[in-house]
Amino acid sequence: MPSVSVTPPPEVGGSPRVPLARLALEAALALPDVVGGEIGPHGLRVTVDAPAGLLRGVSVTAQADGRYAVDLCLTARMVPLVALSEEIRSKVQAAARHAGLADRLDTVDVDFAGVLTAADLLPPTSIVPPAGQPGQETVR
Amino acid sequence: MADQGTSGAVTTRSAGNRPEGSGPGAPLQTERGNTTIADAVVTKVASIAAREVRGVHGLGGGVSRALGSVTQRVGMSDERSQGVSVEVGEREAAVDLTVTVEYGESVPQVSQAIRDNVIKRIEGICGLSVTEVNVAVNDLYFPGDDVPEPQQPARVE
Repeated sequence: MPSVSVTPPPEVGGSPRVPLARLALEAALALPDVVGGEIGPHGLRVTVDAPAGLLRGVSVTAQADGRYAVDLCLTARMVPLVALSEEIRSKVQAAARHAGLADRLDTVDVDFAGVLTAADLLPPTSIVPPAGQPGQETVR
Repeated sequence: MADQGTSGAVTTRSAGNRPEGSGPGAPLQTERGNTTIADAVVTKVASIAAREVRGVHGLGGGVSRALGSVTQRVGMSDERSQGVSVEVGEREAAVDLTVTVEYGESVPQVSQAIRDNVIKRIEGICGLSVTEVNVAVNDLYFPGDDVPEPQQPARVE
């Protein structure tokens, strides 16, 4: 069976809304202090990316001047969040420049929905009981 | 800074000179976009900051701890949100904490240390200016509280 490419085909003559959403989310998630995307309290930070599925944590809206504003909703590690949001903006703008969409990108709003500590990110620990005691208990 | 006692005390602070990009001096609203911090984030930061203070045994009142232990078991809440109530605006936050202090510690000193650490953490991590940290001490903890009573030997076999 031939392998199926998961890379979305380039949009031709279409709106840059979905490509901007995709590159913005990818740029944010590439940062080590960003843990994941969240759909937000009202479930609005989602973009349908037909080939790839749902982009959770980003929405892009057209502005009156023809540009597009990006809204990101993220979970991050417990680091200074204002500095992180500036880093995210810089990465999104660089990615938009690289994709030739810099002139279509308006503001990049960043909403931090949650923060995780190092303990939150630890995998569940399996405790193996001493010999003679049946069962295994998994604790977080 | 105005301190009005332990429970319901109010602390106000000015932003002071802080480096660009951190603390409340860093802009949450910029030309390139806005940064918003959810209540849950401020709640978690405040809770962890309060627990970092020596002399704090735990957060939350007896009822909230009992309810919290139930809701945690069914995955409905995080232990770290107990005893913390926050109000978050675009640039400022106010925090209410209910704490249990270890017996023997100075309650005014512990509550002041809580206030200082909560302000430092929220300003550093969230970039919000903290207008109030109200600390309500609702219980004292004795080390013996956790020790189970020894079982009485059975009178019959």
